[in-house]
Amino acid sequence: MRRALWIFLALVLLVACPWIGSRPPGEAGDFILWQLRVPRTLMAALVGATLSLVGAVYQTVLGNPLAAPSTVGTTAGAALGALVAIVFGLSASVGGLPIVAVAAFVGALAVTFLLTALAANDRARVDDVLLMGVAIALAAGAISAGLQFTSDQIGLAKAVRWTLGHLPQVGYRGVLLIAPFTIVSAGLLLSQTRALEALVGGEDLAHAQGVNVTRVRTLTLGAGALGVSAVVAWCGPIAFVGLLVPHLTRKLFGTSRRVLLPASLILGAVFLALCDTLSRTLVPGREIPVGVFTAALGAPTLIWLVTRRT
Amino acid sequence: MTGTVDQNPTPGRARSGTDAAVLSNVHVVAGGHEILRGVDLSLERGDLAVLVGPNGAGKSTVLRTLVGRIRPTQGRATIGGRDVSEMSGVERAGKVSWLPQIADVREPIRVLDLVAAGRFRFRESQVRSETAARTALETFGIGELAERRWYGLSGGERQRIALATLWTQEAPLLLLDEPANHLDPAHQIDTYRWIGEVVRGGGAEHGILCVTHDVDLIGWLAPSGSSVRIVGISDGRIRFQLPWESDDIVAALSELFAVDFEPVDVGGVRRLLVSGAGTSHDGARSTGSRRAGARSDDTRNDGNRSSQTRGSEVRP
Repeated sequence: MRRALWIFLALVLLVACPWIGSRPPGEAGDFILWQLRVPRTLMAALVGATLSLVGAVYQTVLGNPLAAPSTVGTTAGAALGALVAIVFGLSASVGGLPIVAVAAFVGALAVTFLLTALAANDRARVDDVLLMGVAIALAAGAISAGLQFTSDQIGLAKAVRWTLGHLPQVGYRGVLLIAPFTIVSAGLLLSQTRALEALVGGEDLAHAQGVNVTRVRTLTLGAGALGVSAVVAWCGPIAFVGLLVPHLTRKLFGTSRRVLLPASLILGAVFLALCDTLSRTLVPGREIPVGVFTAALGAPTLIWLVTRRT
Repeated sequence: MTGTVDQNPTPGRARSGTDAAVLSNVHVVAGGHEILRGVDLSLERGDLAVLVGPNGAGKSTVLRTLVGRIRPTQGRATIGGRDVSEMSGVERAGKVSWLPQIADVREPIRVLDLVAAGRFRFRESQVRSETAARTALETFGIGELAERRWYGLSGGERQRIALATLWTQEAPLLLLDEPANHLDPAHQIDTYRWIGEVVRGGGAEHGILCVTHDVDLIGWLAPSGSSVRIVGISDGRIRFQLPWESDDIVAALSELFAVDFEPVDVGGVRRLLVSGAGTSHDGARSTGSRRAGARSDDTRNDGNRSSQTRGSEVRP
């Protein structure tokens, strides 16, 4: 009952987001509300939901509270792809899409599928998979840093802005573009709920109970990569959402995967929509990149959550 | 194909014998070491077998291979004549369950959720899974732990929860790796008595293979004298398979562990107590393997003798 109330309150907040903040009266105001803020809130909800659900699933399947889209290299791969496009000054578009987003999508997918291929080995231990993810993330980060070093001032400024994480004004078209990826990704991940529940008891126990451990690992890493790649391709690496929201959800809703996973999805949507609303209203006339906001808010919250447990 | 088995949660209905788990000449190499060197072993309903051997003998690896967690480098692991690795997870879980030595639970999960996960193979609602999980917890006398979290439980409570998880799976063959680990003496004896009851009282619905190096506990499995098969393993080879009542068992175990055991009758339960440190390690092992090989002719170990002799030269 209390859980349902929490979810309801969160959803009310989400719906209220576009109406927060000042807007001019009349037609201009309506345009801002319906053509800018509503699609942007929808975008924030999709992005937050995807990052949080994938974070919750990765934490389960990799058996580690630090697992998240950012710690297994997905976001680092996206950043690398985006930087290649930015630094080499590619401003063309592919099929009407900005090439930076396409490059980021390809980079994220490539990096995560590399990890998935390593994880598909029966003999790969779960801790090794996470370590390989961290190593891949660091390598991609190093190449990105090298690229930034060689780029000119304009490219550098663009790159820095991209890596901060932001929700671009992409309208309904952007929402419609990433929605299929995030929906397929979420559907595949949620279909593995029972297997993930068994995995909490460790891979040996899950195997004994009939879970095909390697397949679940490959499928969830791959499905997560699909959703996260689409999301970060547009928005850049928005920090901390995939790490913080699952921990927060566990605190509020307990550890049962069949509650934790959908609740992470919903709270993630609300959390990022709220952060985005704050980031555009806090300093009038100037927008703080939402990635800065989530990190500034997320890091202390995570520390607070951890210290409260002990 | 697989559906017929999966949809039948009552293990007793299937014909006994067809679902035997068998290792045939299994070799397992891991990390450059040959952990199993030609193991032949079978387990079927109605069997109560105890796999004993010193540390590092390959006991746990035998179980991991039987349940398909490791593939044999050479040889076959089959259930009902089919390779374990070719079965779907759900189909395999309907035939054999496994209590791993270490429960690697990484979150403060609710006990009921952990036990209910044992029902993975059944396509059923969460409510039914939880009902079955509660029943299993009651069976092990720990119904009050259902809402507790994994962190903050004692080692003994965790061990009994793990057994309840295994029990909810309703597989006919149970592989138990040190089921009395972390338990106090009273619960150790309870657990071993329970294992004996499962096999004896279940109308041959279950077969159990139990790994231990605690020889003293074996007596509690069969206080009424029913048949317990003792399988001795060292250096990755089966050294003997003898009934617990056999006159040769004391000598065989003494050689296997390189200590002197002495049978003692404690209130009608035959127990083996360590009475001395035995002969030197090398001597005990090599003579042990030769004599055990000769002895096990009447069981099912014939093919192993030549390799056993070779092995004792390679590895003292």
